[in-house]
Amino acid sequence: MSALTLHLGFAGYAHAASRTRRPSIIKADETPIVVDDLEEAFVSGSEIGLAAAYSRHGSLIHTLCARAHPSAAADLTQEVFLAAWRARDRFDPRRGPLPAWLVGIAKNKIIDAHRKSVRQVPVMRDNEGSVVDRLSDDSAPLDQLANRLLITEALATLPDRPRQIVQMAFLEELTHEQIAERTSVPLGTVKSDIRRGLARLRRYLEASS
Amino acid sequence: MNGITLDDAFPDDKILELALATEPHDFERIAPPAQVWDNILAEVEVERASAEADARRRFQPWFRSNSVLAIAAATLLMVGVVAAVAFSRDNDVPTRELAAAQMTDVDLPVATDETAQARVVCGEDGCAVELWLSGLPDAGDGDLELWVINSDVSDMHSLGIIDGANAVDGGSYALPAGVTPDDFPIVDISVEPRDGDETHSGQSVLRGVLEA
Repeated sequence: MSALTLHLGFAGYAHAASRTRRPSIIKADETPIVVDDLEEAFVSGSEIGLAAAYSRHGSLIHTLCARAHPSAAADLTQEVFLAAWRARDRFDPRRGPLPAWLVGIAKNKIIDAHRKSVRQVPVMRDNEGSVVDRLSDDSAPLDQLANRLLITEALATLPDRPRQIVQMAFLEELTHEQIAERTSVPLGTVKSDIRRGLARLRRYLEASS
Repeated sequence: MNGITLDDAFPDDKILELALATEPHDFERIAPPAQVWDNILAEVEVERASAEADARRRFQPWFRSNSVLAIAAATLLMVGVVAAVAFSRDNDVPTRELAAAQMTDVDLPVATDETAQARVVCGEDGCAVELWLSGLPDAGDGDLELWVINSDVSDMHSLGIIDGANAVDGGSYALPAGVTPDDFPIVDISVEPRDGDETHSGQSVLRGVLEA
């Protein structure tokens, strides 16, 4: 190919370059990427949308994988984001937030990985049946872990005041009146903050199950 | 909790129970190793390239089976060109539009919010692609280069680096002699790193098909 090497004036070029980044050189783990509508960017299938989703939620997914299956955590995190990217058309923002959907995918990947690693050990039976069968029945500890991480994740998305109030109510088990007294926030505001906080947590929990 | 409302999977008391079960440890996050993102991006690029190759393979048989039609269309177009050139000379009209294309980033490896319009015009000095961009897509440290490509993406010609100063108001890029929109119907803008390699980087950012 004969590329024309003549270089003409590039007025406005520097401005354009500072507005957006070239997707193929994105380092999602190094540079926080701000995308106006992350979920929309993710569904569009562009690398920048995937990078933004990874930049924002990679640690949540990796934490879940590392705590549920430490030896395969990095591979699992990779699989989760690839599976999510391939299935991005099936993500519906109206049904819940993206991190919760990613956690749902991660739970399936973790269960699969545990099954595979159990199968590699040929004879693992006892009088309660095969270990594989018991494992598939017992996803409760994984669900429990995923739900706790989703709750802390959802809390982190709340603004400062509602977050403090919700934490006082749920984690420290203070009554609404005690919270109002301690924070000097009117009782009605405390109650509405808690109600909205609860709705936020529910959205995260429901979308992953 | 005051005023418990019942919900199928997560009633208020279930959420409260889960919240109470959280430990300080659950607020901590473990960042994935850097290699994880590199692997994800590499795999995504491989899958995207293979999807593009599939799309090309699907396109080829259609083109081949209609080669007679294509030749007929090309002949008609050439007759049209000759007539148009003759017409333009007779009437002292300097240029004649042969084909035009709307260019977008749909299904391309590099995303952009910008779009472009291209048209092929021929005058006494030969043919050129005229290009209007809504704005300059980001080229990082590289340049934006304009190409025309044939239908099965087996041959292409560079029309040069995009002239940033005339990108929005319209720039003109000469077509090499004998290169027609009929043989090279795809107009493509790529992001080219300044690495001395004159071949197409594969990093297309805007593309369209020229239609008469």
